[in-house]
Amino acid sequence: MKLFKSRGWYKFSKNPLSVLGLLIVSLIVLMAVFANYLTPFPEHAGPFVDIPNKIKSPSSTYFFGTDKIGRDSFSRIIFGYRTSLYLGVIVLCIAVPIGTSLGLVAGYFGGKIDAIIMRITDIFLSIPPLVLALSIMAFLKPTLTNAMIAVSMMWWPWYTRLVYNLTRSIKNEGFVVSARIVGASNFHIIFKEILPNCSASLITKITLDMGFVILIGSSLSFLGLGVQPPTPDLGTMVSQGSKYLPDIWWLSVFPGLAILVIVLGFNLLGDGLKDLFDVEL
Amino acid sequence: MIPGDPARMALGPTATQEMVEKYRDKLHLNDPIHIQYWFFIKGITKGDLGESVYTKRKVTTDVSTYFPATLELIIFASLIMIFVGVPLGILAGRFKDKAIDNISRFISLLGVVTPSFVWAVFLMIIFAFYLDILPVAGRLSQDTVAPERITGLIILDSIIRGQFNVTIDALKHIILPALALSLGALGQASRLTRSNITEVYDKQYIEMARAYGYNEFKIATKYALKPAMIPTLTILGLDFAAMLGNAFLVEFVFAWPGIAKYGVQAILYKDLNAITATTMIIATFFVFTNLIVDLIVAYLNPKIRLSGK
Amino acid sequence: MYVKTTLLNIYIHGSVTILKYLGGKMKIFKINILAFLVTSLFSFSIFAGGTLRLDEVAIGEADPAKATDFADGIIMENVYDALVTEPQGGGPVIGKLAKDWEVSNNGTTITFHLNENVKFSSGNDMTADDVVYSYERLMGLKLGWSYLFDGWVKGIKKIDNHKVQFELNEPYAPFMSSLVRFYIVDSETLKANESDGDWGQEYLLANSAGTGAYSITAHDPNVETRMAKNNNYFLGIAEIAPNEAILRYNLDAPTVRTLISNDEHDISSNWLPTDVKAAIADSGDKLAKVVSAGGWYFKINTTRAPLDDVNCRKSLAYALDYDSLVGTFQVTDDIAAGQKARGPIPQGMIGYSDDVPLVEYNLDKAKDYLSKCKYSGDDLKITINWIAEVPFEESWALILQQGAMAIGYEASVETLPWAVFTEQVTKPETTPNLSIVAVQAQTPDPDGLIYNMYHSAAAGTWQSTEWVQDDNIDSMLNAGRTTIDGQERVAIYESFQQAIVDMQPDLFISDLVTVYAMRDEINAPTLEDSATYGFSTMAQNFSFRLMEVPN
Repeated sequence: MKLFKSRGWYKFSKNPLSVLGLLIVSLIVLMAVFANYLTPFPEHAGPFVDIPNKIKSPSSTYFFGTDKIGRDSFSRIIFGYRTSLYLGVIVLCIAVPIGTSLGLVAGYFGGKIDAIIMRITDIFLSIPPLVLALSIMAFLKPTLTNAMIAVSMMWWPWYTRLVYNLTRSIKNEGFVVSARIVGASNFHIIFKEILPNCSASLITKITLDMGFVILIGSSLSFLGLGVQPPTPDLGTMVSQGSKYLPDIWWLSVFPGLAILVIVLGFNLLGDGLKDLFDVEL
Repeated sequence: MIPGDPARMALGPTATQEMVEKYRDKLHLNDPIHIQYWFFIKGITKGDLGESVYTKRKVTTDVSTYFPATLELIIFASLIMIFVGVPLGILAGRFKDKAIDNISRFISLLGVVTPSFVWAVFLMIIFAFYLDILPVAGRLSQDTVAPERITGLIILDSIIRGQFNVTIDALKHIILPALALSLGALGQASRLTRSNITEVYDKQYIEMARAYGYNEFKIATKYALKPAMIPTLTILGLDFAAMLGNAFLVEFVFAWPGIAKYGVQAILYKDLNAITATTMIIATFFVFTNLIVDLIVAYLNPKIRLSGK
Repeated sequence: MYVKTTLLNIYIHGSVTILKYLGGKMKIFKINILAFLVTSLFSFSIFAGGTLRLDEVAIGEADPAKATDFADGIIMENVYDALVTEPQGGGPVIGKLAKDWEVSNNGTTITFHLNENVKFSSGNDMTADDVVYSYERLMGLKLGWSYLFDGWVKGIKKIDNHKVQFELNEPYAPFMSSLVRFYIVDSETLKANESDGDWGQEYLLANSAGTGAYSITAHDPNVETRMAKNNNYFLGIAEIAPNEAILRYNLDAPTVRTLISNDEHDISSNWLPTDVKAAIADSGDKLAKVVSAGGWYFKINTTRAPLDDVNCRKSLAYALDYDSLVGTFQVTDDIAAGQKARGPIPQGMIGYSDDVPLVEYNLDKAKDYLSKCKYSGDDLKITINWIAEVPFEESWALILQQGAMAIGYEASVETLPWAVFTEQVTKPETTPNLSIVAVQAQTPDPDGLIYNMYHSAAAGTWQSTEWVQDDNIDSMLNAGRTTIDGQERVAIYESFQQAIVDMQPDLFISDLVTVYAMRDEINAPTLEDSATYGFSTMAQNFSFRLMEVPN
């Protein structure tokens, strides 16, 4: 990939914030993937109760304290990252292909298809994301899967819009025009000529969005409309922990900070990529 | 599609099946969805949105009780966003890469990456518990009686009625939720203003103005601000509407008796009429906001204003 | 009002108190002290109890023909009166709106003589017409507590202005205690406010029409109910009793916690997280513990696999770690919000017996029972549901999950908000395998607790998610109702207790012990010493007129 070619890396590493972002993201991903080995109490993510150790304030044993049934908050936050990343990846895996292909089709063919797809896209874009997700959740049972569906439903239009604009400008470039002249099929032109030229923008947007998808997902579970307890989830932890304020502050403050950190990480990394690829979003 | 039977919820656990059926008939729940929709539309034309199975009152009563609280919160949050965010952006744009620019960048970054419910929790801990200078929750203190309703916006009503002690109490209560709600948008507003300002300052006519020897303040206010504000305004309009979504989160933390809290309860109770009404309010609010923004932009931008002529 | 009364207090207690206040939390009022001292002179004329502020889970139902929940019960007990009531400290019912009554020899005709000096808050006199109307209204709407009478009462008629007669189909032992849930409404006011034969429902959405010690001044089912003292209450009301009461809904725990320590809230709900109650006690306010007639149950849906097999149910009973459960009850060193239960009938109620052994946590025994169960392997899938509004239930669900998984179940934990839960349980196929529910006796009689839980006719409510359909159980419950002799009833309910324990349609968590955090200045003997002054009827301990709220 371009990123690790020495010149690209040099450009990227010149901005300490981008490097910080990369560090945060890699660290969190690593911890989440290997949570079973890296957390002090991996069993606390599953069915686990230790009443004598409930509501302990942060200490060297329990870095972020324990909750009302004696589970270690630190371990659960790391497992919560796993839930968040899982949600982010799945949502983008659904939204990006749908959004991208619609954008490609609309941008490349133009005309009526363009009008229909882009008007629908505009409607979706005009509704505030959280409001849209909430109204979808109003009709679904609150589960992780449904939360993913709801968030995906509101996310694809952003990719349609992005890819549409890119396609419209790329399609008049010389190499596309010449491909058409030599009789390449539409399929070939769209997927072999245009799509690769959208990839830099797409990768950057996906990175930035990863953070925001996680943020929206945690908002839904904060309202009780997303991931259900006892699955470790950051939004749920803040929501449950906030019931114990102010005396037992660690149950909401640390998961809250954890959300902040992961979104920040993806944001900084995305900004770094934006500078590196020199793309507009 | 909706799991759960609203009629059963409305009547409670001891109602007989026969009564549930009767109630379902009354609510037209046994009819196909398009017939239900027809009844709903018919109701709207008569100003009737049906009955909420959750509060068992007319949805219109509920909405007129809870919406003003949310509106007040959003207006206040927007004021913070505009009167803090925009000046911060202007300063940051004028003093690019100086300390103020970095501060504004930091604030905006924090604002963007932190969900508003996390802000709400942090602000609550700091100002309501640790410093103990602001109230924890609600719109008014226990011993303060709300002014007689005019608009439902307590701050406005109390000013109109001259009950300034109520105004002060209401202001104290609204600061934290409004701040929590605005911080995300505030950062965005300031960054946006900044980038538009810097763009405008790179334009030739600014240099021309400088060459004519106009002072910096006049350049800033007369020549730079207006064109820079046009794209900013559009986004601010979007932010204003998006706050309605985030209000759901903030109202929960601060026990704010608004439409968002009502809406979530409605979702949990499968209260179809209430959900529809809430969604409609949000949609209307959204369209209305965009309309106003468009009008202001048209006013500011002669290109749009004159294009029709 | 609160400011005024606070300062009246300051005026009375003199400058020492003022200094204390200045140093304390009431900084805001510092500047205004002088002005208020002057105004407080004028408030002497209205010297009376202060405002009582408490909270519950929404929504509050203000219509006596629709009420069923705890919050509704609080409103009912203060705003309306029934013909009879339980005496303070417990015991057989005594007259309230009724002076006395006669029961016919066969037990099916009961004639009530009404008190003659009772007025509704509207000023109308309470007469036999109101009693008849109230009964017709209750049965016309067929909601709320109407099921207590449905099928048993043949009719009601007015004999004269202060005499009414109930006719029963057959002897019905719990009839008198059921009457505590039959609230008398003001027929004139309701008839005047009736529209399209709605029995005045619309009117009662925001008003009250009762004889009670308080009447509703404002009611928003989602926000709060405000009630004002009725100084002419026919049983009399103490000056120190609260002048006004505000019942607030769905307050968050941190709000309650802060308001109480800032002296802006008086009594918490029982649903406050245990550790928050402990924090309130730590910072100088008090806790009141009330042992109520009821219990916490893991209610098992006995119609769904794998828990339709009694051996599977028994295996869960032995897989539940009772020591951990008891650990969660402990609020402070002296106060535990629970006591281990032996069966469905709690300690102190007719039918309770020490002979029923306590189940112990024993994984070997649990596995033993599981091997006798007809299900195994992949069939052993269960979900444990807890109520979203009651966070401490989650701990119990997780304790059971841990035990169940240890013996080979695939157990998942889910949560539903109360309103959704009550709807889901109206069908056996949507009722969760296990649900954690607290049930409190609706009337001061074991029948008011267990009939609703176990009789096949009562299945399909949040109280009966077991879906018990058992002829033997039904006949015992029926016998309990039609047997008038006290000794015989005790025997019936004791054998019932044993039969249920053998059947294991529930895992018994605890007798219902509720703990309320209270502001130190409040006196509520009904809550603080409920054994002596309290009631076993749900929510009756919240009779505001028996509380003392100093200015």
